[in-house]
Amino acid sequence: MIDTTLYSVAKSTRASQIALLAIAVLIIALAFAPAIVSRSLLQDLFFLLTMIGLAQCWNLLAGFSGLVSVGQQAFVGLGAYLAFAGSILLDLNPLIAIILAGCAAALLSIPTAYIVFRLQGAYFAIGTWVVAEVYRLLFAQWKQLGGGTGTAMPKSYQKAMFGFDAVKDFFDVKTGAALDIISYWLALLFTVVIVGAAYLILRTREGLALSAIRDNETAAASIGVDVTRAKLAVYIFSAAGAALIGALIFFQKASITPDSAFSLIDWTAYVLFIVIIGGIGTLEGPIVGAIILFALRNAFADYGTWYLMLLGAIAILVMLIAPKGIWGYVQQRWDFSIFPTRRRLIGPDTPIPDYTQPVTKMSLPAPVGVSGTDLPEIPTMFDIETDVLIIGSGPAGGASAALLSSYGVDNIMIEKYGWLANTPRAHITNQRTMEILRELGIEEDAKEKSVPQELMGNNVFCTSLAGEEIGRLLTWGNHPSRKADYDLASPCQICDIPQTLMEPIIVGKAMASGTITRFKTEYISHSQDADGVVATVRDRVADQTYRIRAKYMIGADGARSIIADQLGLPMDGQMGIEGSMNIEFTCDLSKYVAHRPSVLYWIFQPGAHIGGIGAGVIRMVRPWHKWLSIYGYDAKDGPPDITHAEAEKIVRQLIGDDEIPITIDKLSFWTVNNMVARRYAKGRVFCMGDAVHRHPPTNGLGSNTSIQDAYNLAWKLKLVLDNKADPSLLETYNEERQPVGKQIVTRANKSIEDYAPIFETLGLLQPGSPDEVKRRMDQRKQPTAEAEARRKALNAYIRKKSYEFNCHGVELGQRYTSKAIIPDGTAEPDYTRDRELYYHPTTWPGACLPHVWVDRNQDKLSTLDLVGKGRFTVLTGVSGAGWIEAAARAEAELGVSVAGIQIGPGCEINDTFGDWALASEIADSGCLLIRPDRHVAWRQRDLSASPTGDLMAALTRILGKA
Amino acid sequence: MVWVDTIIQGILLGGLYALFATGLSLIFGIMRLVNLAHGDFMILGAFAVLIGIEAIGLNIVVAAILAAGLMFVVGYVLQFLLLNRTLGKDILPPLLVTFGLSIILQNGMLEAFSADTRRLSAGGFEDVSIKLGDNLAIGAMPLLTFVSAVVVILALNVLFFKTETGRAFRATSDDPETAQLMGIDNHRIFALAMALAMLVVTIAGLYLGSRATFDPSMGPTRLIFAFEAVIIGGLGSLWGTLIGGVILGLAQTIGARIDPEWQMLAGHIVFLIVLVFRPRGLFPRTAGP
Repeated sequence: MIDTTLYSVAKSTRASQIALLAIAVLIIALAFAPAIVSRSLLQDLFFLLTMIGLAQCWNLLAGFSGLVSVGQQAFVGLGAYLAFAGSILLDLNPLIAIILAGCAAALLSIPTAYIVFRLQGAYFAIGTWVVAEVYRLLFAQWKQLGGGTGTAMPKSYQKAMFGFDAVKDFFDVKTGAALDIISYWLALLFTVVIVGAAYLILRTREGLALSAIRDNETAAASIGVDVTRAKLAVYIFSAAGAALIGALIFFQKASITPDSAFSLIDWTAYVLFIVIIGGIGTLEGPIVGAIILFALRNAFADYGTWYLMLLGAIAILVMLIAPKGIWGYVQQRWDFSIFPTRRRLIGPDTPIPDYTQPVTKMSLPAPVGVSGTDLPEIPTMFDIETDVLIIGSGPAGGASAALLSSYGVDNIMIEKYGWLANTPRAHITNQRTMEILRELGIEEDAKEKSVPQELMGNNVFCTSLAGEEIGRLLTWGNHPSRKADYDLASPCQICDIPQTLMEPIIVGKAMASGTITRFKTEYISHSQDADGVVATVRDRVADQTYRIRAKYMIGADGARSIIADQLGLPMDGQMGIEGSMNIEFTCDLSKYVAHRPSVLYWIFQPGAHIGGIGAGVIRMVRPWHKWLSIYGYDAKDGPPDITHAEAEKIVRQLIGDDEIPITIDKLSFWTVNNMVARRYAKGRVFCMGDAVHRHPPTNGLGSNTSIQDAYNLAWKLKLVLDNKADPSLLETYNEERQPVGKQIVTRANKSIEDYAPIFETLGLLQPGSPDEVKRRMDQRKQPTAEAEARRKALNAYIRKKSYEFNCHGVELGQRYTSKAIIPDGTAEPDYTRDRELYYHPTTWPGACLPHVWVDRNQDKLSTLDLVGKGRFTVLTGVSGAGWIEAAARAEAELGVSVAGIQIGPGCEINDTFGDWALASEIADSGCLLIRPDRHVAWRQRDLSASPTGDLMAALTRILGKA
Repeated sequence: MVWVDTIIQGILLGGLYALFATGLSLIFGIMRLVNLAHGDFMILGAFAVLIGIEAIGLNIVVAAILAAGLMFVVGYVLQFLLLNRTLGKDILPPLLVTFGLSIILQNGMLEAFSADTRRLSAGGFEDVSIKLGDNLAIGAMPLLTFVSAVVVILALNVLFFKTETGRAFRATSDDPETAQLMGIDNHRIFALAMALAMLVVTIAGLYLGSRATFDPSMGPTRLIFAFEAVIIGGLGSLWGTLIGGVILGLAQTIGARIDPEWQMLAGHIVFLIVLVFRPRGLFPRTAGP
């Protein structure tokens, strides 16, 4: 017989008591984090805490109760949606909405459990998944919350959060940061409560019951454990926990879609990895796992699909090699736990297994909850109808509006802010863009505000404006050997117009031609049906929400596009790789720059680095007194807190002059992104501009490409809206423009990489004191063979920057392939020179019509002036009268404008210089069919047997009606 | 007439779902393994056929035969080297390993084939239809799918009940320990079963890809359909699975006829109803637990 007085039951160890104390200290430290750490770190901690919370809930289910669910996203989504409904539709305080959402989800988990508990083991897993799918599909039907495309939570609702004003005032931060702080505290609270509750539950007798169920359900039932009741309690607890965390996550995100809220990957797959890797069935495991996932995410998340494959592989390996995970291994090896849930029998000899604890029924906590049925309608000011709704008035949106209005298409443009661009941003305006402005009749207005090509082109690399000049490159076609290329390519010149001046010209033109523009109006969400798009927008002045019904919508809402996000357009690349600060300043720098006029001056100084390039840059805004300096910061730490005096110091250092009078005008922050959408459109919504291609400013292609996106889509929308073309024509927008976006994003990033060899050659990349760096830079001045090699290399690398600054082929040379281009069977013409640096004009179908000068009476016209303006054009020569007749017949039969123009002696248009004869690549009897965006759609070298039939067939095919 | 059409479409769609589900049912029946990557393997099979057609330029039938052979080997190796190690009393390892496989397959295919939607070209056969009346026509492809499902199930039944290998399958399924004592190598039997399932999965992928478009992210939803068909039909009976597929197909087409957005939802709801009232499915193999 055992002398029981020799034994005692211990629930904790000395080590675990110390560890618990350390945890308590850590939690207190975490509570003070918002006062110390940067905003981005706080967001990272938020992610970490929420993942720990979710992982712990799943761990309790799978690890302690044997309920392997892959449907926890059901409760994350439920919590998120119910909290949105409570906040937006019922006007509840968000905190109350979040807590009620947690309670409601707990309530809803009971009928859910009734169904899924009928399944066992693996079938239970898939059953929970089906239930999550059902919830996702049901919530996608909830039109008041945006239906399938979801909705955004307006800032005004977010601001109603309990304690918002106090936090904002106390920390003296912006709205977004204050909301992040509150979200973080709530995440800390919820997670501590979930982990704490799990710990306490597992230490009770009921907790033992759970382990008994996990280890042997039948045996547990036979000694009196109410298996179903215990499982149900855990299921409800986990549902409530997941819902609380889900509600909080989406409150912080401020936008929701059924796909993101009920995402299997985000809310179940990651959670699974965390628990498996960390150690299933231990309370410490999920915490360890979350930290590991977080580290992996920071290191590899940029690799997208490869990252997920890595996670999958790690999970499989852990399951096979160490099924108890990392913490399981620790526990086994050192017999240590922070949260001991096992009971140990301490006695004189070897411990014996503890069979002495009887297990009794566990009590079921009574869930509390509310029902949220009678939901009021969103207050509606009024509903408006239009053909095309444009979101955003930047270069892409503005150009879309101006072009659509010039074609006579009814359109409305909304803009979140009160006016157009407030910082100079984009400036290089290439020839293709100027050609579009020329068609719109605003080329002269733009030229008046522009700095001409001649003043753009001395790209200076120096140690400071007053200091040593390292090298110079003639750019933007200013080298004599390139000037001809640029002049020959277009009737327009490349020029420099700051975005602040460009946007008013374009938007002014749009509004003068009929666009209705509503400023201070914010896009919230949209839904699509068979006939159109209904967008919910908010008037920020009256704080009124109303709806706009349109047949099509253009999402030109910039690099932080909500629309691209809501549509779920697949994106490659990443956001916020580098942070950049714009310092706008006034200073007469004539004495440093007038002899070498340029838009860009690159300053190589240790410590100065912009957007991943690694140098400071001074950009001309207005010659030669308004300037913009770009200076880098680490994007991870968020924008630096910098005063005007400090900014002045930076600028002074770049200029290298302590005396010159400087006024700092404005500071603004932006991040370098590297991202392109694989698809630009979904249904009736088309995204363009930075919404789908986000890249560094190198090559100056962002705004240009945005405007050209608009030029590609506008005529297609017009023809489809007029019922002249089949809607399938709109698919060609994506086919034609996505490769261009991909190309420019790649080019811009490559251009950044091309700076590194310059630094390398100058010895700027190795660390050292400023003096050492200076000595390394000066080494190239030595009369040695090594220095000569270095001089030669530097020269070559600087010349290579022509790929950024003289990249004419990338600027002008897009050739489209799509269903709206008909190949003529000839092979694509060879690129005889470098295809990025040089533009190769051709009339090969898909290319832009080449520019040459021609005459009408005494007017000098460009071939580009003959085409465009929303019409198709047939260009032919002296012997091509048959085509002119065909054009007239096609116009009459198809109802689309087809202009017929003959070029040659005796025709209305005369090829005086004979250039067209060389550029047209067709015989005088041949024909080019030019699309309204000036691209060649189809060509015939000679007159065909049936010109009308052939032209009609080609047009019908292009219009998608074949 | 519209409703007759809908019902015929639904039944034929059920054939496709039965093909999805047969592989799942097969491996669960023999080794109690639920393969969460089942749907992704189906998409992989479709891509294998696509490569045969587009990259090598084969006829769709030849491409499908080659792909099925390849997937057979993949299945055998996968089970032999990886999944056999996860089998045991604990249900977690196989579940989580196949879940990890699913993530790897989906993202691997996304990396290799991009997110574009694809279609298998059957040389015009996909557009052929058989006229049954003035307003009624049956697509040849859906009909062939249904017939194939019946043939596959028939063939598997013959294999199970008329051959030596089939007896080994059934023996292992009923009592793996005793089967082993009788000289059956369980691991090889399991590998063979998985190989067979992959062969069926490729046939499913073939029809999936030639009836409509597919892309790398479609696997999980197809897994759910397969699972629903198995549960509705009742575990362990292949003919039950066919009927389960037909019921699911009917639910979806009728749901879609009422409102296109209700297609998926209708299928799920019918599944949940069956679960509530007949938790062991409509045609369970045996009466006991």
